[in-house]
Parts: sequence; structure tokens; C-alpha cells
Amino acid sequence: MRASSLSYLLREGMRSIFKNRMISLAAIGVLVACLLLVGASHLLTQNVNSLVGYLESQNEVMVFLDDAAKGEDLTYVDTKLRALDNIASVTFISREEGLKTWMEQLGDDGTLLEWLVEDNPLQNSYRVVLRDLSRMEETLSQIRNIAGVETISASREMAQAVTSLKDGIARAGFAVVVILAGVSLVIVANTIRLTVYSRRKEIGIMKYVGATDTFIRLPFIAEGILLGVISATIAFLLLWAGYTGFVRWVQEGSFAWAGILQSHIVPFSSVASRLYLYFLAGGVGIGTLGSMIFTGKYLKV
Amino acid sequence: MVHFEHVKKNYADGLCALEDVNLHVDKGEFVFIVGASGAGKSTLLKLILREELPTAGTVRVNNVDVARLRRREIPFFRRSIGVVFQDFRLIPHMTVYENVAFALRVTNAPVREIRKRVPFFLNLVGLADKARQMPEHLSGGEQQRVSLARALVNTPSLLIADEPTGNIDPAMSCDIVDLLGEINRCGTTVLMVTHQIPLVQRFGHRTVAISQGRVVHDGRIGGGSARKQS
Repeated sequence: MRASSLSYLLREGMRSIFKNRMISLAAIGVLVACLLLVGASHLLTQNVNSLVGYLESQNEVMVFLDDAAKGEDLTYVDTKLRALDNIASVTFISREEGLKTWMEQLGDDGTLLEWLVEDNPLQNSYRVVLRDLSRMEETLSQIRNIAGVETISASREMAQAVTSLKDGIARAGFAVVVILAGVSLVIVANTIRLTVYSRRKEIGIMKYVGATDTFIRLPFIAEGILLGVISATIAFLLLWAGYTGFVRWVQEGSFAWAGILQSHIVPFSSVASRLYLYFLAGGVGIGTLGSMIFTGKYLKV
Repeated sequence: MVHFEHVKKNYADGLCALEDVNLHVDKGEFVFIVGASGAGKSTLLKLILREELPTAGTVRVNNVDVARLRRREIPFFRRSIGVVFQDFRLIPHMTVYENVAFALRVTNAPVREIRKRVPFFLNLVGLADKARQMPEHLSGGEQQRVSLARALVNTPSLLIADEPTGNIDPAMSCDIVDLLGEINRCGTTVLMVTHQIPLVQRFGHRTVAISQGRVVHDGRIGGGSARKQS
């Protein structure tokens, strides 16, 4: 395509947006609103994931070993545990260490446990952190099958809650994106339909002077793309301002969860470029698709 | 240039617009097409422009059988035909210059070419000094001349004028037909649809009369050798 044709397309797209500015504004408004909601749900998902990641790392499984297991048996259990694929970390806690920690936790009252040093009732154990909580049952049964393992203590409820929270948010996020993409597609398509309708005479003339279908269609597609780019940029800037404000509010806040939130909040800069790319892709995609739906109808020879 | 052989056109609603039309226009001819409204003149033009397809018979324009044109070939076929309408059909938000340049732009012509051709054709129709005006500020006759410049800028071998003088006062009408005559003398075949019989008589070109979908007269009106159709 010639540079003059490209500049003609852009000029026509801009002119059309400006000429039908009320309709264009409405379309940009709806697109911005949709992108904002999608962006907000993306940020929410990112933050929940970051928080869930923290909770997951806090969710430990205690693996208690048979008292009979000693020496080589312990090495065997160690190797087997570390070989499992869903394991993030494995820490061995000997019975002596266990008792020491317990005594330390009791502080001054720890001396009450001194009589246990001679005849330690605790078992050798492993503190295991899982990688993926949704596969907890599978991993637990693998651990249980290792010779030398006696009992396992794990908080299944916690694991389930975290897993279902993650699933729920992923599903809700997906639903939000699908529904809003549908809504904005309809709005953009109708905006373009109105511009196509208002220019049907021009389209007729173009056909008589021998314009190809592509040439006739491109200004409308350019208009759709421009609507997408403008909306994406506005939505991105609004979300940036809004999120930065929210982060400041959380960091200055002194409410119950503030501590955990503060340390796990996702900074905007870490998602900014990806988010703008998503917005552009979404805006341009919807703009292009929306403008292609109805232009065909008016192009019948 | 334009050949109709036993052409019949029925519309989907059962209307029979053309019935066994045979018409041959040679290269370089100037032909008037006359007839009452509903006689089939518009259908004739639509068939030439490949807006419609014949129900039976063949329509050949520039040695192209219009029925055999593929959809994507139609725009390129139309570039060899210039069209002028009764209602001018200028784009209101473009200047005179832009309206003419538009026809070149859709063919992806280089800017250099546009800058050369547009002034030439505006000069030809006598509107070189109005290039920067908007169509609404021009008289009917002037608007039609812009439309003519637009039709000619791609140097078509065939020019179709659909009642070009229908919205113009009689004096201006003669100017337009004079202009069409000049274009014709330069080698362009001209087909002009009109129902202004005085104009036809005055210029004395070959005249094809259509009535109820049939060619009922072919020849000069008021003299010359009329070829009565059987």
C-alpha cells in the first residue's frame, strides 16, 4: 500500500470518528468501561494469586517418620521425598531439634519439658511445602507410600480453600472477559454500522469509479482500529491512576489485613506493559472485528 | 464497444425490464438513448456496468462478457467506464479537486499522477479556477462538469451519462452535451440517456429509443436513416 493511501485511510478514519463524535464517544465510553473492568479483574487476579502464593508457602505438610527408621532409612526417605515433582521444599527436623524448638516456643516455661530430653517422645519429621495445592491428595498418598513414613499431618481445608479460591477467580475473570468482549463487539459493530449507513452514497460512488471492496472497507476498519487504540489508551491511563491510588491507600492504611496486603500487593509497573498490550490487542481486535461485521452488507455489487 | 445480443432481463419480482434487446455501439460513437421512465433505460445501463446480470443473451462491453466477470474483477472492469449521473453524486465534504482526485485515489494512483491529471481535466471542463470550492457552492451545471471530470480522469474508453442534463437549465444542458461531444471527438465512446427530445433533435446523433423493454427505434431523429427494429 502506498503511503498516500495509508494517510488517506487514517484521515478518513479520524474524520469519521469526529463527524459522528457522539456515537464515537459512546463507543469509546463503553469500550473504556469494558477494558477497565477487564483490567481491574486482571489486577485482582494477579493480587489474589500473589496472596495465594504466600498462603501456599505457609501451608506445610508434616511428615512423621517411624521411630525404627534410622541411618540409611532416613537417607532413603530423604531421596524419595525430594524426587517427588510437586514438592517446593523439604526440611528435615530431627526429634532433638523438634524438642528444642518446642521448648523455645514455651519460653520460660520450656524448662518444664526438660525431663523429656532423656526420653524424647517426638518423632523425626520432615517439613514439606507443596508446589501445587490442588494436587495435595495425590502427593500425600505418594508420601504415604514411602517406606519409613508413619503419619502425615496436613491442613486439607486450607488447601481446598486456597485451591477453590484460585479456581473461582480464574473462572470469574474469564467470564468477565468473555461477556465484556461480547458487549463491546456489539457496540463497536453498531457504531461502524451507523457510519457505514451515513456514507452509503459515498460507497456507491466508490463502486462506480472502480474501487475494490478492500479499498471501500479499509477506512471503516481503520475507524474501528482507531476507536480501539483510543479506548485502550484511555482505559490504561485511568487504570494506572486508579490502581496507584488504591495501592497508596492500602500502604497508608492501618486495617487488619494491611500488613499482609502491603507485602504482597502487585506493583502496577510489573503488569503495565503487559496490560497495555492486552488492552491494545483487545481494543484493536474488537474494533477490527466490529467494523468487518456490517461493512460487507453494504458492499453487494 | 457495447454489444447486446438477444438480451432479456427479468427481475426477481417478475418484472420484465428488457425483452430481446439487440444493440451494437461501435468505438467512437455518440449514442442517445431515449424512452419514458420505466422503459428499461436504467436496466440497460446497469447491465453495461455489471450491476445486474442478463437473464438471457449476452452483454459484451470492451470485449468483455459481463456475465463471465468474477466478483473481484468487477472494480477493474468499471475503471474502463466513466459514469455521470443526473444527481451528480459528488462527495459533499470534499473540494472539487478532491472529488476528481478521489476517482484516481481509489485506483491507487501515485500522487504525482493525481497532481498532473486532476488540473488537466478540471481545465478541460472549464473549472480550473473552482478547484478549491466545495460542491455546494457550485451551480448545477458546474457540479455536473465536476462529475464529468471525475468520470474522465481515469481516461475511460466508454462514457455513460445517465440523464446528465436532467437537473440543469436548458442553456447549461447544451453546454454539457457540447462538452460530451468534444470528449467524443477525442475518441471516447459516449452513451447518453435522456428524455429531452429537443436536445436529441438539436445534436442529431444516433438515437436508440426504448419502449416497454424493446428497442423501437435506432437511428437519427429528424433526418438520417432510421433503422426500425422488427
